[in-house]
Amino acid sequence: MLWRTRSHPTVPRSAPVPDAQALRQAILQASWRRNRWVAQRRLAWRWLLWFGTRYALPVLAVAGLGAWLWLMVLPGAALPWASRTALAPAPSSQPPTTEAAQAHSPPAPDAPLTHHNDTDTEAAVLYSPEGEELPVPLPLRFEPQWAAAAAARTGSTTDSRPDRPLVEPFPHPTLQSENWLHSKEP
Amino acid sequence: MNQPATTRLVPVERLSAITSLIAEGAVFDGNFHTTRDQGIKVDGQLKGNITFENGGTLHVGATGVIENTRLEADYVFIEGKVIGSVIARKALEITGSATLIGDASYDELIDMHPRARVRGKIEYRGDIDAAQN
Repeated sequence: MLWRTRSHPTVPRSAPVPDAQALRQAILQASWRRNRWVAQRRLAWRWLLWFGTRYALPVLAVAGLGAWLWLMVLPGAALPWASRTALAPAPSSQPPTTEAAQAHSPPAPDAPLTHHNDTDTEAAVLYSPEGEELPVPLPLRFEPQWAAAAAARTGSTTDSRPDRPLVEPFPHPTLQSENWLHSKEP
Repeated sequence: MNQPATTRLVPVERLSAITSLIAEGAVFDGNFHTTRDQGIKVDGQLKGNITFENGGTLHVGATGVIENTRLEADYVFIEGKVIGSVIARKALEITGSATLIGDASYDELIDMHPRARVRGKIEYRGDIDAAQN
């Protein structure tokens, strides 16, 4: 019959048909290529993970803690020791000694008052934890002329008569009322 | 590029003599058993046992996953993930990309690369006293 005698080849006879060995070798080589890439990638990731948890993470933690301390606890303090020196010393509860009082010789009465800590105000600027600039605390100093003025005032008060009233009389004898020109009284 | 993998214990000739392959993406559910000295490489997923009665080389590729299994062969080279027990009659090599969850037994040689993940018992099945002499 015709359908038995006539062949219908689906594959050309000239096409090479790979044998089992060649097919096996091709498949194995493709598998090896893929296997090498995946294995190297996974191994590199494991080494990276181990290195990160062992070395990089502690270093980053220490660096982060240091940065946090520097930015939050000491804001804007490029020289922390300078800000400490700019701060005024804590007031002592004990009275000043006589040596310390004599060390400051009283200036001349006509001498102008000068601010001795002008240079310290330029030393450092303090900031609050929110980053706002804080006023520089002025140091407390003992001015000798204040003591002289206080002594003079206390001396004048001791000379006053004991029967003198504490409240000034009104109207003051040296003052005149504002409407004295408009007074109709002769 | 014609080399199968960088091995330190299992001979490359054994890995090159692989006769069967479970390709990546394929799922094989069942047991593999033979009495001849052949080899199999698993790049896909296998759920079952692999037993080589005589000789045999088992290569678990980096993409291969074998679960609920009992593997037995002369040479076992693991680069992927194995959940189950492994018996290597001659040499067992576990690379740094491998994960073995289960017990492993060997008769002669074992090599475990750095960063290999093994959770289980490693047992030497040979004679301890004879090995010391």
